[in-house]
Amino acid sequence: MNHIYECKILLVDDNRELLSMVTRMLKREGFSQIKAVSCCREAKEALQEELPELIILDVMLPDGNGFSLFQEIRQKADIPILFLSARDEDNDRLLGLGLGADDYLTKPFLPKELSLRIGAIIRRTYLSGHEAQSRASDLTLGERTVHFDQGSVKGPLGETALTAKELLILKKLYENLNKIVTFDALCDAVWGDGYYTYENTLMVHIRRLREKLEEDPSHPKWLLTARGIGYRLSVPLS
Amino acid sequence: MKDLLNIYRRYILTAALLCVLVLVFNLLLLFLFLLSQFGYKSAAAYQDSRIDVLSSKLTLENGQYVLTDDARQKVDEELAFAMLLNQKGEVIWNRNLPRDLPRSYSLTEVASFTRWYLMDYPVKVYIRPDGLLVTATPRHSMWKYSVEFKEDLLEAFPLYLLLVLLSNLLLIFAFAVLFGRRFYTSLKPLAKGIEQLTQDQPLSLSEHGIVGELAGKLNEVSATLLFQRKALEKRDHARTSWIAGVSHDIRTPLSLILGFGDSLAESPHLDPEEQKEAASIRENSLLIKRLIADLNLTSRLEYDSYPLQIKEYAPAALLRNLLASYYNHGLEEPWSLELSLDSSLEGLTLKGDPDLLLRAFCNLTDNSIRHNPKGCEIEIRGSLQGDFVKLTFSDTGDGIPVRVIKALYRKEISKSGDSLPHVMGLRIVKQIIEAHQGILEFSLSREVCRSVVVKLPLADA
Repeated sequence: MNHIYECKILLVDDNRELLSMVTRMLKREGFSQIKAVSCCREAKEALQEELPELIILDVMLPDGNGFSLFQEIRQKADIPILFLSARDEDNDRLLGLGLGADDYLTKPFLPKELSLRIGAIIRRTYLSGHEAQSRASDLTLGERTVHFDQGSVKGPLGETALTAKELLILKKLYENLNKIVTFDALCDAVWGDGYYTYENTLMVHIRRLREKLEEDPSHPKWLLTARGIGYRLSVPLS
Repeated sequence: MKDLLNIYRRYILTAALLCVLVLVFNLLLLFLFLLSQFGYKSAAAYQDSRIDVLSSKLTLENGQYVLTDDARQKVDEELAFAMLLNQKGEVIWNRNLPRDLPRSYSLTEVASFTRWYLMDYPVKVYIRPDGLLVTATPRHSMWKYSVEFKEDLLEAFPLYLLLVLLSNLLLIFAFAVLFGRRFYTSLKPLAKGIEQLTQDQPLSLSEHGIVGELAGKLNEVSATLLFQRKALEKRDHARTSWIAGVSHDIRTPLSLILGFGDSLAESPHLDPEEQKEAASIRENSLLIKRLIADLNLTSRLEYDSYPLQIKEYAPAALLRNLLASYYNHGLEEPWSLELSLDSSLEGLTLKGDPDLLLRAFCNLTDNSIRHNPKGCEIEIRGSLQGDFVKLTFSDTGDGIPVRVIKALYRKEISKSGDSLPHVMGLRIVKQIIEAHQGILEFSLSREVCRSVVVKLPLADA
């Protein structure tokens, strides 16, 4: 599989209207190979015909329980499964995820959310290798380029090395590109500890990072402070 | 158990007090008795009955002994007889001396009756220059005994008396302790049972012994309580699962409404007005979704069927997370979120269910956003106040109307329903904070509340 949209999806839900709605919606999003069935028996038949690459499974089915169908499927093949259920009790959610489901989405849901979650599962399962790596290798910030694999920043005045901690901080921010990462999450990622003891240390590291990344470190353009909350690596998506 | 020990202690104290009271009472009685014997009679009457007084009224006149009239009357009324013996032991005067009594007494006879009786008559003697005056009261009217003590014994008598008194007190005290202890041991299972009852534990006390009947009653009470609790739990459970069931049934059709609404809102075949209407279907479906989730959560919190996932968390980190998630989900102008935390909150951890608390804080923040469509500045301040972490949520918007807060503190959910949606979010906040032994306060000014204060107790407070 080269692209998420090539993924074969099996949809199991007892409500036919919902089946057709989700099918149409996923097709509109770009998924082309979707099969929809409405009970356990049909699901088993479909699985015998051809193994899908992702299953979206309802918990309450007319001829059985989604959780037991899940276990049956998993005994035969390791296919990623997303539960789509009208039950939002935490116990059900925990049971589903505890069994090894890849995700659990509660009805009603926004179509966009379902397709985003499907995309995330597929990427994680089938495409994690090359896509993730290609993302983490380089980052261009204006005239400067960060090389994550070399741990260095190349700029108009030459190349500067990043320290191990600076690299960890930058990676964490890059993983959450354009999102605020709290002080706590950063300290946890870098030192495995709370913010309390590393308040000043984190500030010092951020200042050094800005000196290496920013043209004007006192007026940062990329590595921004979210006052009182954390930091954000802001890069307009091309 | 402490109560029972107190009862025990008071029992012993009461016993001691009882002894002292009895002693005082006895002393009082004795005093009264003595008073009645000696003090009650008039001093003159007492004076008159004394043998020395009688003696002074017996005088020798012209070789004849004469007793004054009043003394004679006294002898006749109160005494059996009176006589005067001369130095040889002969009766030289008498009054009412019975015939069977000798008229002369030997030295040994005198020695005997001065100490004991004279022919069964209790007698008193008085030495006069002219002889010995003897008065006798009727037979069997007096008890006479000659008492002898060694002097040192007599001197030590008060000490002995004190010792006897003390040893009596000690004995009584020891008995009180002993019996009290027996009582205490037999009551102990009862006290334990009552304690168990207060902790909602089922009871099966032994129904033997002196408190058997009481234990039986306690067992009955426990069984009744257990039955009632089970019935209540069953009803609460039925209610919670009914709400869960209904909301489950709503979810699937709502998925369709939401899904179709969304696809219509994005449809290029509709004109902008129709797209707007479809978008409204989508937004309202989301609102219903939220209400269903809130309804479920509130009913489960209300009937305590929601087990808190208690763990240690840092409130500062939780709040930063809250703000980050709002900004990361696209919060922008005209709304803004500010966080100002006191440095004392850094490094501080509390015990609680951080997911639930986050839900509560989200509800407060969402309220500010939802009810101020023109935008507002939301500020969250955190500080340490006594044994509490104090979090203040305030905004520059319209504030919460006082009727909403009143509705929140009304026991029953309002049937008219107009303020229901607003209250549910706040009700959940209240329930979550209370489940954490926290305090929720609304500071009002001019019928409007602009800041909500959440106080969470410190872990070791």
